[in-house]
Amino acid sequence: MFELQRQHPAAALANAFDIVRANFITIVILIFVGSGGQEANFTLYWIFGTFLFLLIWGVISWYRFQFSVNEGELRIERGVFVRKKLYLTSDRIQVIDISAGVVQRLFGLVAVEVKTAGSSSKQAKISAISREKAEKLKTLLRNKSNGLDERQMKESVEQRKVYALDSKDLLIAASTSGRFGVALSVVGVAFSQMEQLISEEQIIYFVERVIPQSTNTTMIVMSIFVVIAIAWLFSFASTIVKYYDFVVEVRKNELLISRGLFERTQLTIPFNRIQAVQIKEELLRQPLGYASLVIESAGYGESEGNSTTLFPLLAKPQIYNFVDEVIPDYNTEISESNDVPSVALRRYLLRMLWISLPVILIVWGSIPYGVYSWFLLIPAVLLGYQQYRDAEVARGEDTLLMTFRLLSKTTAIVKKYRMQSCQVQQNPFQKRLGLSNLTVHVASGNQGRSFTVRDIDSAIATDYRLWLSNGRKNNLGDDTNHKSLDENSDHPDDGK
Amino acid sequence: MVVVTGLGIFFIPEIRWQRWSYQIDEHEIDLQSGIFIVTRTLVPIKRVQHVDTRQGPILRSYDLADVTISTAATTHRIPALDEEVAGQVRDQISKFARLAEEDV
Repeated sequence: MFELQRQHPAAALANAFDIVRANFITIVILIFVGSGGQEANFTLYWIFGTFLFLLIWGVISWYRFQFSVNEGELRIERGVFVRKKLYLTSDRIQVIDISAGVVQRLFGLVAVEVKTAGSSSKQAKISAISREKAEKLKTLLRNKSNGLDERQMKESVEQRKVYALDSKDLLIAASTSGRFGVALSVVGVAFSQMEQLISEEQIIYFVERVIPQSTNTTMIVMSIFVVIAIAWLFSFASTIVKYYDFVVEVRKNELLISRGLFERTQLTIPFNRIQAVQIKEELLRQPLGYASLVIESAGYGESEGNSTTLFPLLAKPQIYNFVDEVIPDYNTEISESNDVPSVALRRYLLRMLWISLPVILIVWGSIPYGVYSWFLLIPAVLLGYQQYRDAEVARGEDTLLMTFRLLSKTTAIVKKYRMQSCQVQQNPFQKRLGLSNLTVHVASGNQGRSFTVRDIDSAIATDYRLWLSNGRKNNLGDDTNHKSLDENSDHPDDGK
Repeated sequence: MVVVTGLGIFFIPEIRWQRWSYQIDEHEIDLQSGIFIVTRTLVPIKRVQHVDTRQGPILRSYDLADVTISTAATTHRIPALDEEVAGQVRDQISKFARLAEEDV
């Protein structure tokens, strides 16, 4: 039992850093923009002042933050101006994250984040307490089988399975990271801000000295190349920082994922919170025969668009092995699989054409040498063809597999009883060809996530929809009811 | 132009209204809508988190109400039902949902 108490004073510092980190990009931009024309000293004062203010704020909010555990209920009182009292019962707590950032590690502390299905989780974050306290807190809040759990954990120490990402795989994962695109845009923005830092004369001087015979074209090509290289380095570095020493531990009822170079993050995900599993074969990884595993879980995750990476890099042959060992529920035999019918091919190709055409036209009209943008059609159409090839729905006993590709080929594995809702959609063009889109929604974080396979045969789509709904009825375990319901359904079946 | 707009104002809503149908039983909610793009949605009752009826000023003047069904992942709307029917639908769903109680 925990008495009402404050966090470790280091929380003040941690809070200040948290604010800085959360607004890092804003701050950088402010400094870039704000420093234009001002003296360097002024900027320094400004930064220093801001940090001092944040520190004072951190101290005050530390002072006003108290927490206690009472009968399996976590109580937090916080807020400088607006007092908030937060009561979290252990029944409703879904995930307890223990992590250690730079500040926490400096003092040998950890941060505990408690997450429930709905509430915004930042509310219940204890940013600095000692590790022992954190562990105690965790056991207290996982009270359902308190003593039992501990015993079981000790028993299962030997059978506990641990999977770690070795350094070779980490390097491969980093160099083929999908964050490349994001990094590219960030670097692009940074480049446009460059003018603020370097004067034009300097650039011209640089260009004339270093690449004397440079024509306009080579310069453009060069700068594109440089941007790409920097973006790649960024994504490389950020992946390494994020996935360094990635370890998945399989426990009796939960998965424990820990990762990170500077900031160790630990996630606990109970098996019964897992809503869906995705196998993602990123564009750069697929040719090398690698994929990553992502799990969707209810009530966890704000970063990563509400999903959590279960394992960043796996060779394809290993995937099903891994799934079998870590999340055996999701390794089901497929009894039936349905490809997209060949009439759908033209829809896939045309779709990519419509998407790429405006881009090409804009580039054609606005940039010299824009004519070459017509070459974009080739990868676009190839992508469309590949999307057509990859799209597939399949099912096992109680499992639905949906394979589709936007850029990366994704296989979503959804348990029938985890589905939140499903949708069959058909537009007039599809109707003529007898095609439909099938969408399945699962809970994930606050918003949920949906998976769509486009242009599958209408009959098959309806069949899957019925199968998904029948499953519910069978799940309840009374067959008579189920039959009578089918007879009663007088709903117009226009989906066919 | 006028013809098209007139069509849009006077006829399309009616067709859309005709094409809207819903069915609720103790296991699932089945919604279908759309003239050109036909969407058929299935929501297992177990997954329903809460049901609302809501009514804006226009709907209120006609004694109508929307029913909104929320799951952990999605929100579905049955638009402009009779106030009384909307209340019934809401209560019915919530009754079914209570019977089929389960976690997230």
